[in-house]
Amino acid sequence: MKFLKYYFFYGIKKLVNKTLGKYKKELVYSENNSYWEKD
Amino acid sequence: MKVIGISCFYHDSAVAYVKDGILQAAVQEERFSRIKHDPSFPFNSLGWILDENNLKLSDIDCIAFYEDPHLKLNRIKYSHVASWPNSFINYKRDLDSQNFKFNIKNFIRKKVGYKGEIEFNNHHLSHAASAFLLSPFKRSAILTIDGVGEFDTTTIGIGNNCDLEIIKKIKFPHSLGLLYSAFTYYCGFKINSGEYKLMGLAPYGTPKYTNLILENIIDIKDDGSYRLNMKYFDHLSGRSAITNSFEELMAMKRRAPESEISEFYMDVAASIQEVLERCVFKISKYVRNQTKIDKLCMAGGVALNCVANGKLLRSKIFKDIWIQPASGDAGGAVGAALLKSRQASGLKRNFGFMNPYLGPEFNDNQIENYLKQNKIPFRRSKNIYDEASDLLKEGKIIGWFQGKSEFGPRALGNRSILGNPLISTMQKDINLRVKFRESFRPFAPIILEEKAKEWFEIDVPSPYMLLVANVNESKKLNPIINDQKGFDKLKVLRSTIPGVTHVDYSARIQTVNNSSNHDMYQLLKKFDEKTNCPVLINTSFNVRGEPIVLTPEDAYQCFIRTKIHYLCIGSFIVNKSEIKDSELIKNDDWLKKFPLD
Repeated sequence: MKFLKYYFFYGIKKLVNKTLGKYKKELVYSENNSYWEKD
Repeated sequence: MKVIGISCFYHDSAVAYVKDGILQAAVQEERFSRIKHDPSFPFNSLGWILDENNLKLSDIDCIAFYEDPHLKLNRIKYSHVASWPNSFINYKRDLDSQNFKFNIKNFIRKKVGYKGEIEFNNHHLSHAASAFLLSPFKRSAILTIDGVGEFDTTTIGIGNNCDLEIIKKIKFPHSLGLLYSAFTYYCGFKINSGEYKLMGLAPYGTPKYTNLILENIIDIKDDGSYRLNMKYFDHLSGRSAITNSFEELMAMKRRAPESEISEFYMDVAASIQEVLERCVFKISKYVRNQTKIDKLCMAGGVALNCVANGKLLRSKIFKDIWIQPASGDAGGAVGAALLKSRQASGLKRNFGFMNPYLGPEFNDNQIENYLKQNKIPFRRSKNIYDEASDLLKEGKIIGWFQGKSEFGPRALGNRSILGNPLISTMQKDINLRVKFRESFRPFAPIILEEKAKEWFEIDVPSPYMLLVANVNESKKLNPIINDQKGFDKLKVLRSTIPGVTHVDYSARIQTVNNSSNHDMYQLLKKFDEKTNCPVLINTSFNVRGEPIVLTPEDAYQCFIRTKIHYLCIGSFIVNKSEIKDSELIKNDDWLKKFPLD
């Protein structure tokens, strides 16, 4: 049950995020001059 | 304050013991369990460290774990979300495994019986601490690069006396370590183990695919920051290192493990090595500009790429570089323990040589008892250095077992197989008849520190075998012919020490002085007196896929299974020709015990 809960919960969450582009933008190249992030 | 550092449950589990800020002992579990890269909880190592230091569990003030399982679980969830639904099957597996780590405190309390404080540290901070806090620098820039910690894959930091600060980072899934591992997998080698082979294979090829990789697979900015094109990688879902698109881009299927290595894969190895070096160079220049510090400490698996290290040193971007010899996850145990010790009671730093000989030692009585109990013919040597150097001069291969075992992936002269580098067939002989590994793999030279400059293009000590430099011009043989391709390059005699000269004239050097390793120094001195050559072939005392030997029994087993002629163990010499034929192991069935690496 725990597995199903995680699977569907995050699956749905991903769909939402995909629509909003939250994760998508992190997985492609960027025009920015740097990919460094501050700690 | 007494702190135990632990790394485990991924690969290379290890235990380190730090007392009042000083590293006392460290050992990897694989040496006891005889399972290469053993990830299991290091019960044996912990037991040895407690016994060796006369400690009870109740004496330990804190157990410091090298990473934070809570953060790591978040990363696994993130990965799952990002790669759903491809991660369907592996997510459950990863979650179960992480749940186990999640409960490591309970695990330690129940299985080990420890009731004191248990602390988690950040993975890359542990790496950074293992490098900076053991370095000879009071102030230094710190660079850690590996596959992945919790989220971070590359970090830049600053160390100042006992303080450490991470200032910049690159996060998963973008990872130089995973990029190199993906190519390791593509070339038919094992991830987290075969990266050395890829590095050793690179000089046989031509970097024809560098631009293809830079244009399609990785975007490297001028400041060295990078991002992977995830179309070609599958490490987010945990299914595989590469996708079908990767093979389509390279226009060739992945090489089957153990199959013949074609020129194509040699060229791929050369190309990814060049990409890695370019990226590390750019990062280093950025670190220098950002921190304005001219000293650098490095750790993380990528810091074991000694070819890149050597070039970085020669580039003079930094005045001085120090690399943690146990740069992989095993070193995380050391870093975690040092971090805790620093926070709790301040840290005494000696700014001197970090002793890599931190493991178990066997004295002559213990060795003699073992040999007698097992009815092994042996004799006590009046002068082991003199006799061993005579044997090496004659071209004999020696198993050398002395003093404390090394911490980290390299045999640094206490658990080593030694050979004469002046003999041209020695590399092939040791590779095929002793190590049972691929004939293309080079061997490292071990050399007297004061004579290193005469033989190699290196002007700094390299006590941990982490720097690669070329053989000096004066030692190269003329005429130099460069028109061979692939493994044909092996047929050319390139220097006066062919046993340790790679096909591009490079060598992974270890320098030794009298205080860093007295026994090896004396042996090299004697060999130099007799041959005018202060260099020996030094390779780890094991066969392919086997962890480096730890005990006299491990050493003897390795000795009778292979074509090593003599075993020099403590003050004793065992001659293979005096051992009964029935004792020797002549078939290769035992090799199956060690999985291919």
